[in-house]
Amino acid sequence: MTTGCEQRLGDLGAHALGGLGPDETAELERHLDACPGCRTELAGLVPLPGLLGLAAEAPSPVPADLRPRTLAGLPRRRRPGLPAAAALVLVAALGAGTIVALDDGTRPVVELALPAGEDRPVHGEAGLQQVASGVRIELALSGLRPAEQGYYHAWLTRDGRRVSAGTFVGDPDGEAVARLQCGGDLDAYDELLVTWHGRDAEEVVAVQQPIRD
Amino acid sequence: MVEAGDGVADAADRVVAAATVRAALQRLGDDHRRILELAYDRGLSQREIAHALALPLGTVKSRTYYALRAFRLACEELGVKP
Repeated sequence: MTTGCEQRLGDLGAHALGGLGPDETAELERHLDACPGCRTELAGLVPLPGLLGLAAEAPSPVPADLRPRTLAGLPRRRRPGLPAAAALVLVAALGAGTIVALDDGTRPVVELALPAGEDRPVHGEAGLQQVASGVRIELALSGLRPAEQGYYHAWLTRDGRRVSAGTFVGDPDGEAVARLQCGGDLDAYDELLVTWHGRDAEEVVAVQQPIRD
Repeated sequence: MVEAGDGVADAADRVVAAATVRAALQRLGDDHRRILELAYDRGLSQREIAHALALPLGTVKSRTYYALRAFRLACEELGVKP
C-alpha cells in the first residue's frame, strides 16, 4: 500500500469477504496488479473469512445413539402415561421440529467433484446451496499452494461475468475447507471458478467447473 | 467440518478453535460484529449492507475493513493465528 491507497482499504476488506460488485472487483484487481503494498495488506485479510466460517460452525452434533446408550446404563422405570391433551401438544411440538429439520435437510445442494487436471493440481469437491441471502458455497480442496505464496479467490460466473464469493488460503498441508457466499440465484450461474493470486504473479485459474451438465 | 478419518484430537482442537474464534467475535464492538454478520453470515454485498443500515457505501466499506482488523487482533490476542 502506498500513499493515496488509504481509500482502497475499505475495498480490500470488502473484497476479502466477497462483497464488491463485478465492476468494483475488476477495478480493484487492476490496482492490485500494480500495487504490492495493497497485495500485502489483502494477504493479511484473506484468512479471516475462514475464521469467521469456523466461528459459524455449529457445535458438534450429539451422537444419534447417545440417548439409547445413556438410557441403557440407567435402571428401567415405567414411564407414566401422558394425559391426552399433553400428548397432543407433544406430538404437535415434535411435528413442527421434524418439519424444520426436513426443510433444512432437503434444500437442494449441487455437489461438484473437482478433479485435478494436467496443469491443475487443485482438486476436491464443492457443495452449492441456495439460501435466503444467496448461494452458500462450501469447498473442500487439496493440492493448494501455501498461504505465504498468495491466496485463492472463489467466484461464480454468469454469462462470462464473475461474481465474487470471497477469498481463502491453503493450510501448510495444501488443504482448505472454505465456506463462502455469493449473492443471487444458483440457477442463474454457469460455473464455479477459483483463481490463484500469487504475491508477484499473474492470476492463474485453479478450478473451473460447470455447475450443470 | 471434521473430515472422516480425522482423529478425535483433531475434532476436539477444532471445537476449541471454533469456541475461541466465537469469543474473539464477542470482543468486537456491536457495529463491527454486526457488519461482519451481515457481510459473512448473511452474505450481503457492501451495497446491500449500505441499504440495510442506511449508511453511505464508503462508511460500510471502511467499517468492514476495520471490523476485520479488529477481529484479526482479537483472534491473535486469544492465541488463534489467522
